[in-house]
This record gives sequence, C-alpha cells and structure tokens, in this order.
Amino acid sequence: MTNQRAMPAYLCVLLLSLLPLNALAGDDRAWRERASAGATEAETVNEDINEEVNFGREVAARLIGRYGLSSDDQLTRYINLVGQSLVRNGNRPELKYHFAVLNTSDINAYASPGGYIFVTKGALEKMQDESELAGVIAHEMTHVNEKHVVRELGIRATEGSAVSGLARLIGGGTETARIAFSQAVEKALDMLFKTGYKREDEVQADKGAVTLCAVAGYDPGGLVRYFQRINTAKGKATEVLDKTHPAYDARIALLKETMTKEGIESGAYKSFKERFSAALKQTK
Amino acid sequence: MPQTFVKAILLLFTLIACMRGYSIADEFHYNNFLIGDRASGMGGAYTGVSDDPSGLYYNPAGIAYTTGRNLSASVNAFYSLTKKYDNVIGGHGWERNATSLLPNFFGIVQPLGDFKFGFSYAVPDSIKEDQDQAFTGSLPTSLGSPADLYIINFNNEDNTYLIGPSLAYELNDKMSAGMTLYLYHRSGQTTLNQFIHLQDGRFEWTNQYIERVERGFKPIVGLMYTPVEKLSLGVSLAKTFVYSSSLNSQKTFKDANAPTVNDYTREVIDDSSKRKFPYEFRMGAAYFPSSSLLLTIDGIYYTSVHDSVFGNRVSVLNGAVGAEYYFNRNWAVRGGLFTDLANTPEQNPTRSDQPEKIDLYGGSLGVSHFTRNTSVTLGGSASYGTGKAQIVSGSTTTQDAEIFGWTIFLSSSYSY
Repeated sequence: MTNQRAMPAYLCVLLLSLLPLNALAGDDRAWRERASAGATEAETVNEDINEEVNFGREVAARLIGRYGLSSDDQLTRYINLVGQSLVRNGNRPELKYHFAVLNTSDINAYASPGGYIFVTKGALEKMQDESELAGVIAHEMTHVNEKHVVRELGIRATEGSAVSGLARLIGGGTETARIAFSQAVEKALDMLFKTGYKREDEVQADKGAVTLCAVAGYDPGGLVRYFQRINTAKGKATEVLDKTHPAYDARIALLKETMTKEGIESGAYKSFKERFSAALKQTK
Repeated sequence: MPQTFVKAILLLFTLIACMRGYSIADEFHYNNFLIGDRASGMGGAYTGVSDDPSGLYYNPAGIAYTTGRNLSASVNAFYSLTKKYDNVIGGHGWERNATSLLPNFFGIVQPLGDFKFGFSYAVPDSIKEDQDQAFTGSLPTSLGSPADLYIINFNNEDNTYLIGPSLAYELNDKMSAGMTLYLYHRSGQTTLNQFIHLQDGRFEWTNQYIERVERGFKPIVGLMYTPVEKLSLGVSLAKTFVYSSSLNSQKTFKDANAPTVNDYTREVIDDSSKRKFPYEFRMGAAYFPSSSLLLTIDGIYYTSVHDSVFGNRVSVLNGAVGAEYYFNRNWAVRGGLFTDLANTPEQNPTRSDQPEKIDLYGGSLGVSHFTRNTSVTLGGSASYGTGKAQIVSGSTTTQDAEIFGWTIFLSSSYSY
C-alpha cells in the first residue's frame, strides 16, 4: 500500500508514558470536578425535601406491603409518643415523623427517608424498657436525619425551570427521571434487606442514637443492653439484621466509647421499664 | 463472483451517470460527525476526559469517573455538506449538497455495584441527498455525439448507527478500564433517474435503485490513567466487524446505441460482500489546571485497509485539540480544532476512476448553561478542505474539488 502514514514517534512515547508513572499519581481527584458542580450540587431546597418524603413514602409502602402493620392502635400510639419525644431533640424540624410497628417476628427496625420509622414486633419482644426502644428508634432516626439513603441514592427534586424543561424535552428526561425513581426505590429496599448502609453510616447512626437518647433524657445505655441481648439471639429472626449490620461486639464497644467520650455514660437518665411493660402488655 | 458483481455495479453506475463522486455517506473520511455535546464543542478531543456519557463512544474507561449518580445526555444535530467539483461537464461545475437532521447521540451512565454501566446510541455517519439538476448546451459525452440535455434526479440516504452497552471499572486510584460493545447497523437507499438527450436525436435513460444493509459490531476497549495530579491520559482501541452485508440493485437501462428505440435492459444484482474497516486507535491527554479550565489533545490513528471490493484505504492520523472554560458555575464555553483527513491515496494522473482525496480541517464552538439537574448546550462545528477528484468515469482528467461542511447541535444532559 502506498501513501501510508506511519504512526508518529510522539504517539508511541505518549503510549509508553502510560506505564511507569504510578508512583507520582495522587489519590485526590477533586481536580476532576468542574465549576458546574457548584450548580449541580446547590443547597437543598424545599422541592428536595418533598422529593425525599415522596421517595420515603414509596419505600415505606413497600415495607408495609412486605410485613404488614400492627393493628394494635395503642401500641402504635405509644411508639409514636416515644418517637416524638426524640423528634423534639432532632435536627430535621422540616420533617413530619411517623412511627409504626411492623407485624413480623423478625428482630429489626427500619428507617425510610422523609421520616418513616418502623420497629418490628420481634424487636419489641426483645426489649425490656423504653430506653432500649428509644435507642433503636434514635438509631433509625439518625439514618434519616443524616440523609444516609438520600445521599447514597442521590434523591433530589427535578427542576421546574424553563432551561431544565428544555433539557428534559431534548433528552427525554421526564421518563428517565420516573424510571430512576423506581430504580432508586429498589436500591433502597436492597439496602434495607440485603446490602445494608455503608459502614460509616452505621457508625454515625449508633453514635447519634446514644447522643439523641441522652439529650431526650433516655438512658443511652439502653441501646447497649439491647445489642447485648440480641447478639445472643441468632437464628432466622435476626437473619436480615445480621446480614445488613456490622458485628455487635464492635458496635457495643463503639457505643461505650462514644458515651464515655460524650460524658453520658452515667447521669439522671430514665429507662421507663414499667411504662414500657405496660404498653407492651397487650401484645405479649 | 460476488466481488465482481459489486465492482460491476459500481462501475456501471458511474459509467451511466457519467460521473463519479457517488459515495454512501462519506466513506472517504473517518471523522464525519463529532459525537456528543461536550466532546463536540472541544473538536472531539475527548479521549483523555470521557467522564460523561459521551465517553461511552470515545473512551469507555472514562465513565468510571462520572461524578453524577445517574447521567443521561442527548444530542440533536443539523448537518450540511457541500461538495463542489470544477469543470465536470462542458465547463460546468458540479455541486452536491447533503443535509441531515438527526439524533446524533444519546447516552446514559449509572452505577452498577463497583462498576459504572452505560448505554449509548451514536450516529457517526449520515447523509441525505436529494438532487434535481438539468444541464443544457453542448455537453461532451462518450456516446458519439454531444448531448444537448442532461437531467439527473438523484436521491441518496445512508445512515450508520451504533447502539450498545458499556461497562467501566476503577482498577485502582490511578487507572480505570472500560469497554463498549456497539451493534453496528448501516443502511442506505439510492435512487437514480437519469436522462441524456444527444444532439443527433438519440437518448439514453437510466433508472436505478440500490439498497444496502450492513450489520456488525464494534467493540471499543479503553484505559484511563492518571500519571500525576491534574493530568489524565486515555487510550482506546476500536474496530468494526461486519458479519452480514447485502446489496440489492435493480437497474433499467435504455442504451443510446440500442438497435431499436424500444430496446432496454434490466439487471438485478444481489451481493453480500463484507466491507472491511480499519483499527481505530485513540490517544488523548487532558490537563485540568483549575475547576474552570480544561485543555485536551487527541490523536486518532486509523490503520490502512486492503479491500478489493469496496476500495483500499490508506492509514490516517487525525488530530484534535480542545479547551473548556467556565465563566462561572452556570456558564461554560468550549472550543476546538480538528482534522478530518482523507483515507484515500494521492491521485495518480495516469489512472482513472480514482476516489477523491480532500483533506478537511475544522473548528468547533459550544456554549453550555448549567442548572442543578441539567445542562443545555448549543454549539456548532465547521470543516473545509480542497483536493482532487475524478468524477467523470473512464477519464484520467482530475477536477479541483472542495468540501464545506457544518453542523449545529443542541444538546442536553440530565442528572437524576
């Protein structure tokens, strides 16, 4: 073949240069981020909160569909009273929290974005006082307060601006957004039932739980006692819990360390054992 | 022999048309369309960046670095191409115009466990010609008499589509790998109706329809490497493999030298010869001096192709440079320069029926507006070049030729 152009030497040099420079590379890749990230990661707006609530409601509906809700109105009211006492000390006043009991013997508790908190009947049966219940609820609330699912799945509102509308018109964005919402719900359920939260999110939720309990006047050691008890309850009832959470020994150690560090390992905290027993009397 | 059939049909077509220059899309260049919005704005110099859905086409390893959770991008382009040839028939020039309005690219990227998954659709080549032209006067022919009327109605449409999934994975902090597996589909139809009236009263009439379909796949493998902070290097290798091809032609021909005025011939030709494609090797570097500025450079090398049916192609090295600048977080402008060199050999003055050789050089510009979830980009590119062509079949005469092409594109990307 005539007129062929040979590959220039500088291209060969560029190719070879790919190989030996590993040691020089930095791990921080913030430099890849463009200035437009400032536009795409703007502060949370009301629409984002609405989207979080809508998303959480969908996930909550799937949870209820899976297990069913307890029909015990008094128990549900009690759970809500405990939950609301924690909400008053939380950091998401824009959310309206809902608390309910799932009708399953599985030992677990779930949080859905937007403020939907569930405790299972199986978990309640393992608890011995209200501070333990408060600890479990506070752990789930921290997942919501810190937006663990929202951040992990990038839940936020779509825009209503003209530019955004044009973009969606060109790119078929409305449909893709709807599909993405549906996919995100499935991912959230995967997180709850299979993969669990990120380890650092669980750590944050545990730390946040004892702090929140202490601020609300509950004995922060309640969560430690609950963990110690269910740590010995191996079996089908804790299958999902064990699969989606870190080992209890490490969590208990972390809780104790946090309580010491925060100076809340002892104090005039309440456990409300009798009140808890009375509330659960009907269900036992 | 199938190859002989194809040669025959191409030759017959050009003989009857008295003109060469017919091509399905623009097979003499590899860089007919810039793909993607951000990439198009930077002249296609994107192999070292590729961190948005356009990267699925340029270097799938780059999507490992997409920053949005889910991204989709769509590009719609209006394309116009004008080819001019001097002194074709009796001193007349010949001009061919082609336009196309089409979805140029759609891509979506989202996480899939430790991987990034993508799916994209690209149109790297497309042409639509609809030409009605009449020549009068004393027109030279090879039919024994000059013509006084030459009418040609020519309609040609040819599109190449790529569609398929991609997967990328971060091998370590400095390197990622990715692969795209495109299904390749090319389809086209050509209709020619041609009438030549000679001064001695005879006439020649041709009606021809050609339909062609090619199917294949185009794998693209890529690597992205970060040797030092703020510098990203990318390489990708691609090649199109055709596994199925069909060309069907029906031609009805009234010869000017036929024994009686009612004599005509009809030919039907089917062929399944497979077109050969070059290896496509992209190398790119991107420098990120700040969050507001990005500079890129690409080299794209295409190997030579020996194809006795569809024509040999020489190796080509195209280059591109690009830049992106953010005025603020909501507005960015991009610019680029690129080459689109001909993949045909230099013309030999002693030979006839040689493919045209016209090297093209171009530039591109784009401006983007960003909001929280979206960006909208308006941009365009233009390329121009001059060269030589032989469009009169059987003649060693060459014509000066020029090509001017331009594209306007409107695109959006959407994160959710």
